[in-house]
Amino acid sequence: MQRHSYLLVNLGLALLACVFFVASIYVGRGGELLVGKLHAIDETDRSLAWLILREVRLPRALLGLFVGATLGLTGAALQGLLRNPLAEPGLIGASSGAALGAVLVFYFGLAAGSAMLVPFGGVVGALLSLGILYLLAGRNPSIVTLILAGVAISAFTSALTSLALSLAASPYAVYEIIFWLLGSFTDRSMDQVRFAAPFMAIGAILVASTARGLDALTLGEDTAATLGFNQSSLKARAVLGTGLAVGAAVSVTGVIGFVGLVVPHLVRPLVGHQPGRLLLPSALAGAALLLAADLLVRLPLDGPEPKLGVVTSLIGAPFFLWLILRTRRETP
Amino acid sequence: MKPIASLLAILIVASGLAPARAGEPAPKRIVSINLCSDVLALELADPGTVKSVFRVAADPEDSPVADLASKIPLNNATAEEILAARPDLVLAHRFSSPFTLSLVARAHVPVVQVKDASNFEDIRDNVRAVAAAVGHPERGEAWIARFDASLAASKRRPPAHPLRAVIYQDLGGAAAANTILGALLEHAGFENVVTAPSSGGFVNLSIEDLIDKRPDFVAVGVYRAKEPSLAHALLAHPALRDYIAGHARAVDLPAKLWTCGTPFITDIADRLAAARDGFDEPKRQASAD
Repeated sequence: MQRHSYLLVNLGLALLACVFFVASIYVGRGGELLVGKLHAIDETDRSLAWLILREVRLPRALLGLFVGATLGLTGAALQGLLRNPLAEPGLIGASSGAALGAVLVFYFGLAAGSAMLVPFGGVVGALLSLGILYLLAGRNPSIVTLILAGVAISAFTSALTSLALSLAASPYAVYEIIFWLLGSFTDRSMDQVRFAAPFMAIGAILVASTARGLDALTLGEDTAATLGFNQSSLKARAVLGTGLAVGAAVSVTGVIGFVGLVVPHLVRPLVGHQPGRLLLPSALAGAALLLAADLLVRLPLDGPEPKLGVVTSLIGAPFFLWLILRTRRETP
Repeated sequence: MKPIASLLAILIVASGLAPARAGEPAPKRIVSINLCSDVLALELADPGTVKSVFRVAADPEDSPVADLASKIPLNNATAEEILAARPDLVLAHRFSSPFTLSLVARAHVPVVQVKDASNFEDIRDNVRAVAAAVGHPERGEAWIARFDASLAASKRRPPAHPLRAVIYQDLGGAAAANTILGALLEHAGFENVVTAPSSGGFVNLSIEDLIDKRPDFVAVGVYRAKEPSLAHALLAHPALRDYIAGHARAVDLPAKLWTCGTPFITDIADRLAAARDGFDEPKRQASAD
């Protein structure tokens, strides 16, 4: 029975992600649809509609799908690995570390401005942040230690990102701080998807491979060890996978907060508390949520699009407060 | 609206004429704190009388008079630096910090502000104001005469079938009709696809919006292309590249010629006129329409 419903939940979430993916391709600024133009009589109109679809809408939708799945998946995995409901790539500093790495490569690297090498910078930045967090928080981190360490790393790397951009020999660097700290999918190109997607895929596979280990870990580290799970390999895979996937995602879209935090909490009531079983539905729900948020961003007609991180934070922050209230109710 | 406009006009005239009142000697220690006044001052003032210019004036990416500014001390437009140079005339922009200018005014140094030029008449006004302030109104008139002659040579009539054009630059901004770039497009016989006026001068246009407007001509504002920025990376977007390759003609316009509305924009007018003439000749590329 439960297997059955698990499958149904996944199918439902996958369907939802698909619907938003298709909507992301067809719905434009102010809710304008592309369908009419694709069937236009005039051949030029039609070829231009295809050009927009192929080179503007498709990369954007693909990024929504991949980055959303990455954030949902890594959020769920980190919450399982650290046995902490607040763990999330953004909160523990991996995302802002990735942004710093990406910024350093993009504005100061040997191949400055080349989109190809930026994901490497993001990955290295995310991994360094995670390494420092691990050193700071120690072997068995309490919620407080972990969050404090994460907040410190986040604040520090965000400050360094802003500083780096202020010093960059780039005429628009100060504007671009907003992009790197709040994230956006606007006018990303297929090249960027191509360079980042392999890292996200490898990272996701590494993280997914930890599913059974994460389940065992709920029984405690020692029990998991007696069950034959190699602790250090498990952690290494989870952390490396997170670093690869989040690093590459952030290097293309900037830091998008709260998705990794909110999604596992939304999914848990549907599939239960086993971290291993949480991974797949979290990835699907993350993709659906981020694609939906990106559709919201397109609603205002005039002026520049609001940054995606603004929308996810508007959804995420109240959720975070609700989480605090619920935690207080449960532990009086 | 009307009284405000006339009040402004009086203020401009008053501030423009104040330092050049009859009998007063031409200023000997001029400090300019904005690129747009730097350009005019360096062209119009006696050599050696401009004691300091704004820091970007000597940068060839920003300034059309970088060579003239290369030996002049640069400033960051702070009151301390301005007053330390003991100026007898400060040239600034209407958008210069009012705090800085009020400090300068308290030291009883005359200040002349150029305005944000959004049409050709504004440019003439600015040239006259600065020429009068530096004590050489005749140089201003001569420069304006050259400017007008050059503009007359690059004037093009709009073709029977309108040529739709856009001036697109970093950050996805398209020049609005009420800017000097918009005026230049019209001057060269193009029809700006951006019809709405914008207080900021640029209208936000995503690549998708741009393709949707189907311009026949894309003039790309190029600013510091060699320095990495996401704003600039936008111009390399494959969709924009494909659109230009298949459906439009493009030309680059270096930012230093248009960031300030000065007579140097005639260079832009010439480039646009040449591009406009290109449309009369048979197309080199096969176009889809």
